[in-house]
Amino acid sequence: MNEVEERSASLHRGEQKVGGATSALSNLFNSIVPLLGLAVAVAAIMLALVALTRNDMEAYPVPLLAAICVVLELQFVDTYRQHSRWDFGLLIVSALAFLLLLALRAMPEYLTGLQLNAVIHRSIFSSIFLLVAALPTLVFSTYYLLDATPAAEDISKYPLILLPVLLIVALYFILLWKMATQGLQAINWSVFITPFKDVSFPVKYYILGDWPAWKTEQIQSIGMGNHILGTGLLILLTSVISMPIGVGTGIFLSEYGEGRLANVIRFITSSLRAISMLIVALAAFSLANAFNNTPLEGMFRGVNFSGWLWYSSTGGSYVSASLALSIVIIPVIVRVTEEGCRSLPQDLREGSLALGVSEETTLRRIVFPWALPNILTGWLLGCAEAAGSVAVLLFVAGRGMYGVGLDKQVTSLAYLIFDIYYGEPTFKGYMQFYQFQAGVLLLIITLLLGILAILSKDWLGKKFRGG
Amino acid sequence: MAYHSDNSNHPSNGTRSKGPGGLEIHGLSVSYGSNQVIKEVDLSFHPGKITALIGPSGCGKTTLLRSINRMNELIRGCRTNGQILLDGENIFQMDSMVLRRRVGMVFQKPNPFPMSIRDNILYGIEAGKQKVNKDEVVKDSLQKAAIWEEVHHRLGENAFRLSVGQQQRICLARCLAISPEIVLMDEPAASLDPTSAAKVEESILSMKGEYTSVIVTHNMQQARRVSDYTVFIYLGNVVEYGETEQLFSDPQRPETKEYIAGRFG
Repeated sequence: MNEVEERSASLHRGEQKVGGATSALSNLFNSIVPLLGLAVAVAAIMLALVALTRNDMEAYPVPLLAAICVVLELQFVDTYRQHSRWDFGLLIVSALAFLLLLALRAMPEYLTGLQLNAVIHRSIFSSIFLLVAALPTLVFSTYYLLDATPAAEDISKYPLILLPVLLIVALYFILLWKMATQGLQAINWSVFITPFKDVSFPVKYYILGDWPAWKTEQIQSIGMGNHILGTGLLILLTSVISMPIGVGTGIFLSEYGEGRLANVIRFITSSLRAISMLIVALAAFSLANAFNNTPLEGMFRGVNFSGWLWYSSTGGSYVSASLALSIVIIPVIVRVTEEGCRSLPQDLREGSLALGVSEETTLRRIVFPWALPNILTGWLLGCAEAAGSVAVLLFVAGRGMYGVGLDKQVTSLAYLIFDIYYGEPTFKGYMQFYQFQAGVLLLIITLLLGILAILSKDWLGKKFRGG
Repeated sequence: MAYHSDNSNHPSNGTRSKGPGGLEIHGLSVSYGSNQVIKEVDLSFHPGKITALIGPSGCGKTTLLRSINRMNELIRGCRTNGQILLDGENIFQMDSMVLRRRVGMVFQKPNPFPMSIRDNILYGIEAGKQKVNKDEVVKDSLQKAAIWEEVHHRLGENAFRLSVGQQQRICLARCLAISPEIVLMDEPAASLDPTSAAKVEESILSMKGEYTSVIVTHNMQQARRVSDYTVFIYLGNVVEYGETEQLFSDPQRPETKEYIAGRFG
């Protein structure tokens, strides 16, 4: 508003040309200083990013900070010349840049102390200082490059939002890259298919003319096949248990959600989410042992069949692990379902009832399809969480050496990564080469589920909410 | 609200109407909480004719309309007293689903479902009809709503893609597809552009004889154009009720005179 008034005031004073095309040359001339500012700011940002990873760029930050200072003051003068306005923000940022420059010069090369047990190199600070000085310069330069209109004010602030986001994305990719290069140096594909087995079991054998004797045989195979299948089964079982309960509760809460019962249910489901994962792990463990000495023992504690002998595992089966994991996943499903159902516009509901259609048909044909995008997204995110959870499986999981099935010992890819680090030395000796492979695979699985969740929301939204 | 399952056994054959219904209101009072909105209203609607409800905003026209198909029951704290007779039957003793198949409603803001146009029209009709009937029903309703020409080649398209005026006509067609006896319309042309509003009026006029229509409108010219009878409602009371031309040219009550002259609204 201020600018508009000033511009019209200056127009009245006869200081600006009205209409008439300004020549290309004068446009160029007017853009010199902003372009300079832009160049300096971009250079500073790039230097900042590079300096994060290297220690030998020491000569450049100080001159660049000085350049930022200078260019901002140039812009200050130029703004007065072009727009008849003193923009003190420029001076402030310029002063800031100067102060940072002084601070950088005063800093020793290595900072020690602060009880940190580490040595911090000055380049971290030069990166930070450069970024702090360069971002406002970027904004100002873009603003003046675009002729200081109110629209330009909006556009010039986009870097403030984009750059931090890009920075985080870049860091994420650096992390991925390091993991991938480390884990995929010599990728062993067969490891994904073979299960891990290191078991000995008794076998009867016969010697001609003598009584049958027993010897132990050992099977050994290195791999993570069962862990991968185990992750799949865990996801499947958790979905089967938590989706009906979660969706049903969510629909109930959204349709009849005003009474005392509904409030109690809401309270319970949101508290479930706040329970520490280790307590859920204990719950899993106690569930696994709840049926000891009953016929159901195998189903919950996990059985290991070996030939025709039955060993009970010391952990828990997929059933008990999934039941425990559902405690964590159900609140998510309930919340997204309720949100999805509530987002239905009231007039659609009324329109359906006004046609003489029963409530249950309205639920089935209008409310539920409308909530489907939310439900599916919630489900996919729940799957990703189930795939990645280790804490819940801490006390019940094992190595799945006897196979993958409802009543077999539970194991998962996430647990494998944990196991490799904390397992006993022989196991570590076999499997540590594949640790990063497992990590990358798990990362890919969860990333894919996450991306699917985002895409499905869009696609299903178009399909079920009118595209 | 009581739980209903979908086993109404009221027959519906295409859009061949069951014939216009007779509607009578005796001593109806509606209040929201402690606020009485409709006070002891007695009205009798002529079968097959179009009756307009006019009056200033907030005087109970929409509430009166919504009482006729018991949509007020969806609002918490709404109490209704009195009798409404549909062909002599008390609607409060009927199954509300059955009632709503005999009394259709078109809302002020178009509310098509996010399905194809065809599915929208067929939504209210019971499942299990033969295919031939379904196409007939769709064509019939769309023609009655004066939108067949525009959409007959794209019945599979999602109804949300249509313009607001087209959507409202789809809603009208959807309402007619269940062949109700009475059609209630709450300012159906209020949010539409003049062309669509004209088309909606055209289809309302074509409904004369086959349906008993009650239309709430703010637009007095529209009431004059479209309706046979007009009811002027003010502060929850029926102030005047008569033939449209009579009421507009020679209103009996002073309030009616003032309202028609535009002195308040």
